[in-house]
Amino acid sequence: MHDWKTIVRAHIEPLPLDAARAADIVDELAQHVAEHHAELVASGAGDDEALATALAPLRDRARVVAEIARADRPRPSAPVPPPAWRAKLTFDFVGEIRYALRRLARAPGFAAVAIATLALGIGANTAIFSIVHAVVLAPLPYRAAQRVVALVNSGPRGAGSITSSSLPDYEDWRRQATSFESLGLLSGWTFNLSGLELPERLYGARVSGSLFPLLGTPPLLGRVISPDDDRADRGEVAVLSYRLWRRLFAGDPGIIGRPLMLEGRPHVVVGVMPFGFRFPSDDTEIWAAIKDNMSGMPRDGRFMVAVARLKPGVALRSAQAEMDAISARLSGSYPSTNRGWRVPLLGIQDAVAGDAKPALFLLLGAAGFVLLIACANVSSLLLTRLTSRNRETGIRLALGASRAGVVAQVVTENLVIALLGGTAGVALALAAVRLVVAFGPADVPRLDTAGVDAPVLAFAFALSLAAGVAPALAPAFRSARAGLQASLREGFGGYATATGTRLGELLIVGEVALAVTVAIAGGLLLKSFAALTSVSPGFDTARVLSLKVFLTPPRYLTIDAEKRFIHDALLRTGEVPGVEAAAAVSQLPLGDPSSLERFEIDGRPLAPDESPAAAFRAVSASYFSVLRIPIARGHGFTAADRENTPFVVVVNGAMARRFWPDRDPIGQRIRWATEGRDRRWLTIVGVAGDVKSDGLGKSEPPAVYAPYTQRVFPWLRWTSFVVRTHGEPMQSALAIRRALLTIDANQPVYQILSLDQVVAQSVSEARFHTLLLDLFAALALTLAAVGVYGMIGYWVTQRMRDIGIRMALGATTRKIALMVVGRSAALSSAGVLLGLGLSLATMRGLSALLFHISPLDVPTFAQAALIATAAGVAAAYLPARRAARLDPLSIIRGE
Amino acid sequence: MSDRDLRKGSSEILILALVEERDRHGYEIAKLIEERSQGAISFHVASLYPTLYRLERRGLIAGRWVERAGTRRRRFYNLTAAGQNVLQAERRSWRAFFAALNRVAHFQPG
Repeated sequence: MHDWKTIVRAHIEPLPLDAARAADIVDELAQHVAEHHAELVASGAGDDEALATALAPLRDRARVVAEIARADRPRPSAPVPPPAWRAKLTFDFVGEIRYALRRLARAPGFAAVAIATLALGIGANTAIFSIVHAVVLAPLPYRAAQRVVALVNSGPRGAGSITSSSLPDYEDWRRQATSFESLGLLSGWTFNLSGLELPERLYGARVSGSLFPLLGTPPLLGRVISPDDDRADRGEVAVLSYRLWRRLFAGDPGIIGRPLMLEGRPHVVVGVMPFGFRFPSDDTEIWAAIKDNMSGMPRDGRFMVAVARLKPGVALRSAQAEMDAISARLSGSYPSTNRGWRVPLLGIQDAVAGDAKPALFLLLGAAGFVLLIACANVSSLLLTRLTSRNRETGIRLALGASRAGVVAQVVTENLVIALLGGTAGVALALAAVRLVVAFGPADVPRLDTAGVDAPVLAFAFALSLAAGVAPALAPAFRSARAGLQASLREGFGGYATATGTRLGELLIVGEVALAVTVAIAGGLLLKSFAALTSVSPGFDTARVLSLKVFLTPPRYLTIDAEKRFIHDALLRTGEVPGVEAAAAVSQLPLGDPSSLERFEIDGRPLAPDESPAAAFRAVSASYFSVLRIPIARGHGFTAADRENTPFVVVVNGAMARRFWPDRDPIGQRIRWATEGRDRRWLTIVGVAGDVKSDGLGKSEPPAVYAPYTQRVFPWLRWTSFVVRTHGEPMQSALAIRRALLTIDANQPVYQILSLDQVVAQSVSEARFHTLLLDLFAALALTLAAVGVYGMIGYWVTQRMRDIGIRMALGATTRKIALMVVGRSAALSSAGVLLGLGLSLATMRGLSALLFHISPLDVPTFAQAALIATAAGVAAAYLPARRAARLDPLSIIRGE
Repeated sequence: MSDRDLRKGSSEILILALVEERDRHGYEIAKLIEERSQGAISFHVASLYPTLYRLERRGLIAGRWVERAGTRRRRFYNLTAAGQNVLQAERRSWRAFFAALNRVAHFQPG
């Protein structure tokens, strides 16, 4: 019997391991040699022969020991502990986060780029969401607001708005409809507040007594206007908005019971509404009861707001059916005013958000695209980073980490990035929302309530979580797979990366496609805005100041009193130094809505379904010359046109073309069609050029100009003065205002703006959308270019060997650079094509926001495609230069 | 893939596959590889044990001494969960590799 251990020990050199382990190994090797020997002997070999054969592999004594020692080290001398993952079945969250932070601190460049990218994406989305939330989503502060509907009166010429109901229609709806618990009516009203230091003009409303109880918002102080307040025998009361209460009365809690001089009569303040209550619009500052202020309004005087509260259990659809039946009855009874009119019921939330909605959702969509691009960038950054960490991952896996553990680690790391990015994004959003609230368009409802509040923070947090998990998943799973393979083939990592590159390339193509889509939307809006602002308003805005007055009882009880004020005002204003000429107009173009009046034409009987209407504008004789509105035919007015001379009018081009397409309107006569009005015939003496009254993008309705001295409508209480100055118009504002105060110290003058400002304000919403969307487009293109840059750089790194070999085989640096740029161009082009397809499918949704440009405008598509491709090629510049400067020898030697 | 990588990779997968069936000791592993490969692949004492120790160090297999009455003290190796994972991944990747080779170089008809 041989002593195998001694034999083996004699055949190998001493093992550089601790004694116990060394003994173990010798024991095991001896075991092996002994069994081999026994088998050889059993098959007939002699003892010596078998011994030599069994020991032959140990001939190279030094090498055997070295290999065993290398394979075995490092090894704890203690018994092998259970694998770590078994002890750590519960996910150590805090530990993982700490570990992730440590790893990120070791890769500050990667962390900074990823965090900044996500901060931009999350910031843009949070900012837009906070606006969408404030304007569209935040519940209105009414009791069970989902049951409150607006009665949107819609005429034969299209959809109405929230302010398109008339008093007689409202009375009929209220008497006939059974679907509603109650109905309420409101009419916009301008109050002149006197008795304070300066006369103040307040925009507010007169409401039916039923309106406040219907809405059900509790007042902040005092009480709301009740049905009793609406009775003729009750004193006048007023309810203040929160803003007015703070602005004029410094939030004085003792305001209740104080009388305010409104329209020369005391109105007792009975309540103050809370901050969030705005009805019907943001600029409504004060409410009083309607009482009999509106009595005698014609059925087609459609400018009031009607709302209703659905009875419990009554569906919107059945209420709508009832209103349709009532509309049909009214149309039968009052064909001249109600034919073709119906009353769509609109949830109050939608009615208030109104026109702002499509643009906001477009912006939200664009911001979402930016975030997707940011996520794709982070994803491809991770892909690059994880590939370089394959070895580490492999070791973790080999040490017993589960694949889920590896994925969880990558996801945790990215979550940390996303939460840091989200925090930075929220900070960005805070600043952005403040800017938007300060400088955004005034006519977006509830915009000033936008802020980064709890729902917005929740949104940002959810977004950060999504942005943390989503971009990490694909790279993490890939890494877990690749890591396993790498663990067995140390020093060999080229096989698995092909899929990584492919995934990265897909991300780039997607990114570029999204960026192209946002860029096309941005381009369309930009061109549309350029087209809109290049439209001539039809008058000359240079050096013209505009001011408004609202002439109310008791001082301006009669039309004569109003006329006297206008006459004196024009006279005094004309004497102010620096003033070239002054004029008055009842509706400032682009500043006031047109109000349409029905009329008849002398000698032209009306067809039964015909009711021609035109905008009415009372002007001073100087109006056309001050605004330089051309008189195409005939002549304008003169100072000789007075109450006691024949009544004359000037019509605009739209009116002439519509009603006298084949003859000269000069000398034709019209008269207003409303019963109970001054029905004398008015002779047309001139045709004036069209003016963009309702918006640069809107066509001018037929319009009738009359000398203000021959005015017949008693309700027309507001007047604008337009003053052409020699110098900068705003510099004359104070002097003109003082001149007006000398006529009536209690008469407020408001909205003092240059006409250039008036025009700019009329497009402020379009400017706002265009600016934001183009900002997003720039952001999207930049992020996509950064993504292409990163991916192409990664691609070059992966192909170092290949490039080195090509160079060694004689490829010129130019050829290498072209290869890299060509790769980038190919990927960008694929993205561009996809983006063009995506745009073709989606841009139609933009139609409502576009002016004079097709949503499928070919040049815009082409330009966006060109810009994106160019950005993709430019992004490849640095990687291409790097590739071209590689030293082939060192690469190949580095193998 | 260098020849050395290939050999190292393949020897490891062979060992993992054998200890997957049941726990085995070193000599048995060497013998089974030689038998099943009909002599094409052979391990001897100097090449087998470094590989076994390497696999053990990586946690893919675990060895333990077993003493039974009447036989010598032997060290048996079994496959760990991590070894199981690696073996499966390797099988997939080799299968793909062979399929690819076959598609290109036509080892088998068809």
